[in-house]
Amino acid sequence: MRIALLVTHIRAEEKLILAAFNKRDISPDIILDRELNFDITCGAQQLAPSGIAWREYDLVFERCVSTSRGMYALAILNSWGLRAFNTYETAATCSDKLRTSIAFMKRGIPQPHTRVAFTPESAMQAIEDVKYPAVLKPVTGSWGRLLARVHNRDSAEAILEHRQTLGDYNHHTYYVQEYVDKPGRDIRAFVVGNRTIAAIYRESNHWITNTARGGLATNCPVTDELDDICARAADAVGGGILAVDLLEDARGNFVVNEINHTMEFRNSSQPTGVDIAQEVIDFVIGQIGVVA
Amino acid sequence: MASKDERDQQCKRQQEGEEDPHPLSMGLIALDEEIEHAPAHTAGFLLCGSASGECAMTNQMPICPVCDGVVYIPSDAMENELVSCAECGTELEIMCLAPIELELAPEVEEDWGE
Ligand SMILES: Nc1ncnc2c1ncn2[C@@H]1O[C@H](COP(=O)(O)OP(=O)(O)OP(=O)(O)O)[C@@H](O)[C@H]1O
Ligand SMILES: [Mg+2]
Ligand SMILES: [Zn+2]
Repeated sequence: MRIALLVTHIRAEEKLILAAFNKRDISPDIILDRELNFDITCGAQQLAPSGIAWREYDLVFERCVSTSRGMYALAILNSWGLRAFNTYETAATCSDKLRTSIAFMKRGIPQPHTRVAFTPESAMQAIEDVKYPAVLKPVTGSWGRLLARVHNRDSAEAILEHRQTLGDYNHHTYYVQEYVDKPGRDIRAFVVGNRTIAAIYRESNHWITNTARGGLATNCPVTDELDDICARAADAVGGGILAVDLLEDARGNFVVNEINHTMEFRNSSQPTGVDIAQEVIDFVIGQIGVVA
Repeated sequence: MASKDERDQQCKRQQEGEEDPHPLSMGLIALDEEIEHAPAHTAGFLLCGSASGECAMTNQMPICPVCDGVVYIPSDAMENELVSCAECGTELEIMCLAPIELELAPEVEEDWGE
């Protein structure tokens, strides 16, 4: 069995993944995204940076921290008929919060009230429509960067002017959400295939609760209700190996915030007692041979 | 700085060369056991070139390119793994394992993440 692990560099997660492959007597070829140089029209018989033709790989596992590199690599590899995780379709949807919201809407997945506008003036109206406090997010990006919680018109005006003046066109798509009055935590659930294998609460005094920003991870029981909404949300974006982020609203109902397709999990196996890397790798291996 | 090809060649030579063993496969590993008193987050990390100057491979101590401090390298380190300098916090990438060669990790770009 020949597997390529596509990475930007090696982080804790990639080491856990490699160890999980090794446990199944597989040692993937590590391919660095910085060394990719595809000829679009030559197909999978061309050599990968590993010196092996792409078509020799039974599977490519994409773990790039660079979202654009990972996504375009998947676009090319999938178009040549190679099996890869996640698929390009899933990656393209998850890497864009607006496309994710549309995917949720189509399947009736509960999500925060969200509006989109394209100028500072219409964005101001969108903010007033969802009411204060509102949340402004770039449509692409991660680790809680450049998120803003806006409490009044003064700060809304300032943030919109800054984004319009200092940001490139990506920041001129104004994705505006109601602030969900969550209980000092949110939920990160790990979905592999159609199963929620584990979930954590991310607790913080800050409204941004990402563990990358200091949020504390504790076990969140995977109830049937949680499993059901996560599995449906994951399916709505195309399915695969996904981290589903949920919020609990003031009435205790789940709303799905977003889905991450290159999940980080280094802090989540310990509190949940689930070997996330092994679950992921066993799923990946199990998919080889399954007709796409 | 060596070009990537030169570096790869060098890596290959060093990894194949029998009389020039991997620094992580010799004396340094033993230090692992000797740092039980180290805080948990450094357990399994090599304390090379400590203040006591007892490192067996003084000429191969991994040095931070920013602050010249000595960098802890995990005993299971891999090429292209990120490590950070305990002294100045700079994120570094292990470009070569034998001998250890560290470079500044690339700056986080706007599209980086999950
Ligand atoms: N509408 C909202 N109401 C309340 N909290 C929110 C809302 N949107 C986001 N948050 C909080 O902000 C944090 C980051 O949100 P989000 O996941 O949307 O951003 P991100 O940059 O994609 O983060 P990551 O990809 O690392 O999960 C989370 O802790 C989430 O709970
Ligand atoms: Mg995200
Ligand atoms: Zn340093």
